[in-house]
Amino acid sequence: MHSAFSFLSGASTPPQLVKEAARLGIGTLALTDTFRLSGIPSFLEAARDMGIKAIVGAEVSVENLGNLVLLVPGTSSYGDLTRLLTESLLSSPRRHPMVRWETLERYGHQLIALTGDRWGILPRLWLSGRRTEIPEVMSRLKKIFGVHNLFIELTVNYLPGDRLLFQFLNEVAQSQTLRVVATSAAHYARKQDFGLFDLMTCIRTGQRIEETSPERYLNAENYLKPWAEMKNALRSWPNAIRNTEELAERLQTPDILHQPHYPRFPDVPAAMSAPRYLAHLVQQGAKLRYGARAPEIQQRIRHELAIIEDMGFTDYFLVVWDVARFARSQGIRFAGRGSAADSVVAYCLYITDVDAYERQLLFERFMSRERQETPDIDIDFDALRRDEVADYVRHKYGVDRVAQVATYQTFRARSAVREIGKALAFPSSELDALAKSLPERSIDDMVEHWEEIPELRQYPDSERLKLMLNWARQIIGLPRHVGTHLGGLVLSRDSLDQVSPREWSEKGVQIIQFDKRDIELVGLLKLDLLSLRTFTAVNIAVNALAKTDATFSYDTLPHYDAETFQRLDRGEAIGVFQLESPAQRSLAQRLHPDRWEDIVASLALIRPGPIKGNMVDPFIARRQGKEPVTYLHPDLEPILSKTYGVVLFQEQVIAIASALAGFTPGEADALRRIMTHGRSHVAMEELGVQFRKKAVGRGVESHVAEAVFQQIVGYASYGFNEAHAAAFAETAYRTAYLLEHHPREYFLGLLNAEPLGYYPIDVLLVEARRRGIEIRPMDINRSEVDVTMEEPQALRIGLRFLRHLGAQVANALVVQRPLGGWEHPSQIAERIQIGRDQLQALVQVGAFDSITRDRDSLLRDLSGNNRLGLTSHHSGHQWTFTEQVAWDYKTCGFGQRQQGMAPWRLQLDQEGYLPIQDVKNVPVGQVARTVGHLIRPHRPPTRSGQLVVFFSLLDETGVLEARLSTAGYQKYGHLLFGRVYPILAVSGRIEPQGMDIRSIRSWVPQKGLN
Amino acid sequence: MKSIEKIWVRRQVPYAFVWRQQYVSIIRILDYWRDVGEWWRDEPELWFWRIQGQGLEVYELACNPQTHQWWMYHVYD
Repeated sequence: MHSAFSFLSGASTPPQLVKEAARLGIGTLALTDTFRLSGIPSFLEAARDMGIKAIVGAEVSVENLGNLVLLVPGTSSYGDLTRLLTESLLSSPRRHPMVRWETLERYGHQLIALTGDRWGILPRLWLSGRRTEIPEVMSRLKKIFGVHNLFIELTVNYLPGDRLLFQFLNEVAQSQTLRVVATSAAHYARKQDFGLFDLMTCIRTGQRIEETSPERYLNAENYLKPWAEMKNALRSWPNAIRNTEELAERLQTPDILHQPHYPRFPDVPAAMSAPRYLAHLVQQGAKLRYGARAPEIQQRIRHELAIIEDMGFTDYFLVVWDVARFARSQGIRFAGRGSAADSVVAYCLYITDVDAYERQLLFERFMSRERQETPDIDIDFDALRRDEVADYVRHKYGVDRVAQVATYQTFRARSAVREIGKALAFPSSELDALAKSLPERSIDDMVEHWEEIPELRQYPDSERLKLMLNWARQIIGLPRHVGTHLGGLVLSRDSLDQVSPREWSEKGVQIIQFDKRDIELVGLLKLDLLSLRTFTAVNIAVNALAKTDATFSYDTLPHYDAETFQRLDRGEAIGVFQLESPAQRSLAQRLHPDRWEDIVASLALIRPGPIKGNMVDPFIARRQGKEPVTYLHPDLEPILSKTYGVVLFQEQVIAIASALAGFTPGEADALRRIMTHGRSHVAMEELGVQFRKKAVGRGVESHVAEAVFQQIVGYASYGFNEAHAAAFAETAYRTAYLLEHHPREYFLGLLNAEPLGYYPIDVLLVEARRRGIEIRPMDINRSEVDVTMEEPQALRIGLRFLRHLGAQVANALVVQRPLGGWEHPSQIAERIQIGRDQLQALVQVGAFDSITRDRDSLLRDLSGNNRLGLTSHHSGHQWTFTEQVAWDYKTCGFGQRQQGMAPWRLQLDQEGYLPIQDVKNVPVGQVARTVGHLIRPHRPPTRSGQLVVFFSLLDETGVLEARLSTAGYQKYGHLLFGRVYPILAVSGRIEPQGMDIRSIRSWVPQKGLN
Repeated sequence: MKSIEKIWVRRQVPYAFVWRQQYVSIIRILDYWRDVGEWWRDEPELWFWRIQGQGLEVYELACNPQTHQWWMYHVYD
């Protein structure tokens, strides 16, 4: 059978197929996705749980002949299939894999082969009139697989011609002394799944449902059939049934799950074991990190090292240390993040920069004996240089032992609507608008509440759309195609070919066929080399600063700088890592951060959990001394004092369970995880009984134990990993420092590292101008490829920021620029490979303005006699400022001269609209009106559960954060989501952190008033 | 497709029918297949039989398994 991992050729997931097989009483099931084992781990797991014998296999295409189904008879031959697939996938064009005869001959001897369904090698030859080739092909197959391992397949699909075909196949079997077997060639679990499968086929072949093609299936018979039906359908060929039962008996499930393939670190000194070497490195690091305090942490280090060794991860830590060491030696900026920062060992190895000992972080949140999971060490690297690190790992540990992890791009609501809608022949413009207007809720919910969703109810013919959405709903979550987990590298002790096939990714790197969840099931370890564009921005800023201030050291900035905290307090943090979103800036204006811990807490507070759980306001009140800080038990004070008695971090839940109820830290983490993930009422009750019993046994009063349990139940699922918050806080604070003290260099970094952060470039440019930085437009002779600094306090936009120009052409324009500069677009066309449309865009964006302001003449020179209608003016006409800004947006997407509202300020003044900067000065409670560009409307989860819309408005003076109530959303939602006009006029009541919107309308400039 | 006036079926398989007032005994089933048609227009799935009558003539019969309606799909002269 095929699962959804045959990408658009299977409509059910492996667990769905297994569940249906169990319902039908099927005892043995083979998964044979096309050139793919991606579904195997979840298939094996589901089959084990349901008591079904799972057979591993794959369907392959043999040269230009047809398909062959290959099955693995047992554990020892699993590697033959993976190697066969790897060799085929790596040597074929990416989207058209094929097995060569030589590959079959090399790896096929131990495998079982079936001749396939109508697309199979034997039926294809017969149906396409190439019957004379059959004896030779059969002879080759017999030579490879042998008569005991080669079977001729009778597929019960009720297709025209089956009787004759089956008769022929039986004759071949008899003449070749082979056996026939019965299959159902399932591509979906249940008959009723056919509609979805047929739509998926249309998506795969790029056709509309009304169109026909040989790829479309004639009937709905490729589902899992009960064995009784198979027997009935093949009652004229009982030998097929008998042979199939014998084969099912013979095949065994390969034992491939949970077999560790952890990497080995190759450079352990001869006289040392790996654990001793790791301990040695940690001690060296401890001396540097802790100096005289190093003896104090020995117990903690021993504790961590013992767990690391017991769980078999010593070499893994050495590998990660090696990778971090390489990055440091190359000057590649990096930082460990996530729960690895709970480890003092990782801190001493300079993998992370959070002092887990000082912060009293619990190692067991990262790894414990009780949690039989592989640890995740995530490291962020400068996005521009992450590939250097990956190359180092491949080179050092062996290309056959290192590969990137796959990701499965699954259908989401928008992609499902677009693709299903296209197959159902909906016009693309309608689909585009609908996809953009879909709110963040399930499709079922949308269909049920259609009339309450303003951006949906605007569409006529809702019944037709609902029908389409019903199909889209069914495809959501199914894998669409394979992608590359950009940062995830697996390292294996031996060749990966024993574990997973490898294939080429779209990016041209080798990937394995398992995603991050499944690699753990098959015993592989992953190294997360993530890329962080903020580090790229920081690096650019720091390098620029080094040219003027040799003493500046980003990495040793003090953790307290009053002006930096004041900037955060004012909510002026646009551009700061993790603290720039409207919610974070609003929190800062209420929290008034003035110390390091405020930043750590802020990162944990603005999450869906704390917001829904109403944690934010009590935290702020306690932090500001407006509410007393109390503890349910004195033992909680050391654990919760840093968060004012509020349970904010996951580590605190673990510590509480340990301190009060005597759980080991590992047990306590297991408790936290159950609270977080398995929140059934019964499970919670059981946990509560256990917690209370243990706590009371340790002398805690029963009602206190109960109250504490309720507190941690309330917060466990909301809690954030403190180590991760502390790791991110480092970068958040430092980037805030750069923004405060070195804005030009930092904006230079941010712009050149785009896309990154919450806001688009246009917002960054407005912020930069507000900080007194002059933004100079693209210039054919002054611009470089990237944004550059110019004196006295300016940034020049780089040529690559022109849409559709590309870095390569931008580079050529700079590198081949004549000494005296470019003089005319035609001169460029003569010297470099550039399209006429690209040259026209350069003129339109004003890149030649420093040579001539007559853009029309240049355009005429390029287009010849205005054939394309590119200009309507006569020679000598100079484009108005309004026209220039409009073309900036068309060609770059942002206002390089000024923000797009600036040219209309006169009209806006006349109409009584305030600039956004002035709106901010209107007293709280009063009503104001303004106009701006709509930015990032979204409907996040709220404490009340009501649908509230948040969006930003931008004009040349700044950003305004706006909130639209549920009632307002009903009235104006259609102006914010979907295909919307981007300039809005709003009025509303001023609030401390923005505007409570009362009315919205589109605002259209009137020509002649600017 | 024209409806078949009368048909005799055993375990969902036809063995005789009346066509244009003639009784036809099925001596051989030559082929059998199923077709979903234009399912997106709510067309029903149909089952088809290519059969040989007692006079060696060949017919194709169609059946809606949900409603048990039968039609003559094709007659081979």
